Amino acid sequence: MSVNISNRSFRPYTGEKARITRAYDYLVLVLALFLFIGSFHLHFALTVGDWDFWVDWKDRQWWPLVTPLMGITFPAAVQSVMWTKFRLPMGATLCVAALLIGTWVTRIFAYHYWNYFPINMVLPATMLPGALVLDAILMLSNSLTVTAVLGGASFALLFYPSNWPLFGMFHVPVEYGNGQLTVADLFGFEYIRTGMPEYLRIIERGTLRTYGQYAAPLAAFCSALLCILMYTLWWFIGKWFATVRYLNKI
Amino acid sequence: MKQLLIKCMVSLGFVLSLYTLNIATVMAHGEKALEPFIRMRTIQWYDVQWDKQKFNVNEEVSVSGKFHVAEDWPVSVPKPEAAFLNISTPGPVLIRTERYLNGKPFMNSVALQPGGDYNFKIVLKGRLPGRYHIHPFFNLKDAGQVMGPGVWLEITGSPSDFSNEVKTINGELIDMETYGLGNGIFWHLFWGLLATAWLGCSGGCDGRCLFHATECCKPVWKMN
Repeated sequence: MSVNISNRSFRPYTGEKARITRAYDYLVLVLALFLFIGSFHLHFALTVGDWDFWVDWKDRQWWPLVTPLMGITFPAAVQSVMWTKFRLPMGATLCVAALLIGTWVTRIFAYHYWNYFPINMVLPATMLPGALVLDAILMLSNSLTVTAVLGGASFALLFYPSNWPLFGMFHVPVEYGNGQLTVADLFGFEYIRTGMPEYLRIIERGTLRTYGQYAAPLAAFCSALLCILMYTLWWFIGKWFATVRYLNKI
Repeated sequence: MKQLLIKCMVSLGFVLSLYTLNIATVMAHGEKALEPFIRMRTIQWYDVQWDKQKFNVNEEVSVSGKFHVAEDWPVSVPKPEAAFLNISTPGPVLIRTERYLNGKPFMNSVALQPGGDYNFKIVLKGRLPGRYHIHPFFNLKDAGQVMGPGVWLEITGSPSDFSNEVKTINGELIDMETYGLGNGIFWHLFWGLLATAWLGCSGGCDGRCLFHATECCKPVWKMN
């Protein structure tokens, strides 16, 4: 399904009219940025939550499955608006960048200064590589179908490898208490969280470990399939929210 | 009538505001507010002792004691098949360095046997100076928290004195407070710069500057 491109010619505003509309645009853009930061951050905290909060939740099974699946939602909706209404291939990158701004602010001020956790224990993951690819595919293909299949899948498949340089070092083993842990596990043991006992962690649960070292790729491909569907669903949610039906009555 | 109502509301507001002059600090974690059947018929703590209650940042302190797992465990409370011996703190003002159950170190959750008596020991290290009300307690899966007796601990010194070095299996000595932080910030900045470049380019130039630089920055979305 391709997006219709209008053949109508446009003539830019000039003079006072242009200045006022541009000032209004900037006002809307600043408000929109805060809206993206707040709403996407809230959505992400409520759905991905602990997998993104804590280094010892970042496993090879649930983390690469849940994070892209919940992370592709707002980018798809905003892409739908930005591309079809403004022909701007930046919806996904804008959303994920806004999310990261909100995430870093809370990790530093809420988790570190307010609750005393070291920042390396609460480092956020990044989805920017996947978002850049998603935007580029939409721009090059101008097609919802191609972007959903190739872009949605890439968004999920790129997540684990692009985060490995950040979090791989936390998988280094440590001998501790007559057992073997990873550095990430040790963070969970040493830095006390009263409401987060070890049994609450949803990591490595299930039968994917049967496949040995292939747990992460399998989880990523499962996420890729689901992301294709999720992308399409949220594209239409974005389209539905961006209606101008009611503006005609003003 | 309206005037009378306003006067009443202002007077009430004034009276209530007097309460702000006498605000008492909350002195505990509400352990006595636990339902009696949780407090009396699940984990029963005894002989709990701290080896000291005033110590410096980076200095170790230990709490040890015993607990009995009640035989007549309430029907309405899930059995303690996954239990985590924890420390109630206002954030990681201390870190937990060692923990023992019946003399054996353990890092994870355990299943407790109703009717059993256990002894425990937890070793902690001061991280942030201050005066804190601290309890040993159990997180019981699907049941909640069962508090042990609490004490006030006073940690003195400077936060900058704290260090937490751990030796990895590779033989590398790492500082848990900063390990991986610089690397993480680098990668976030790296992708952040690429994203900023993309946003600047595609946002300012309608996406076409990647291929047609001369066509750049024509506003197409201002319809006349």
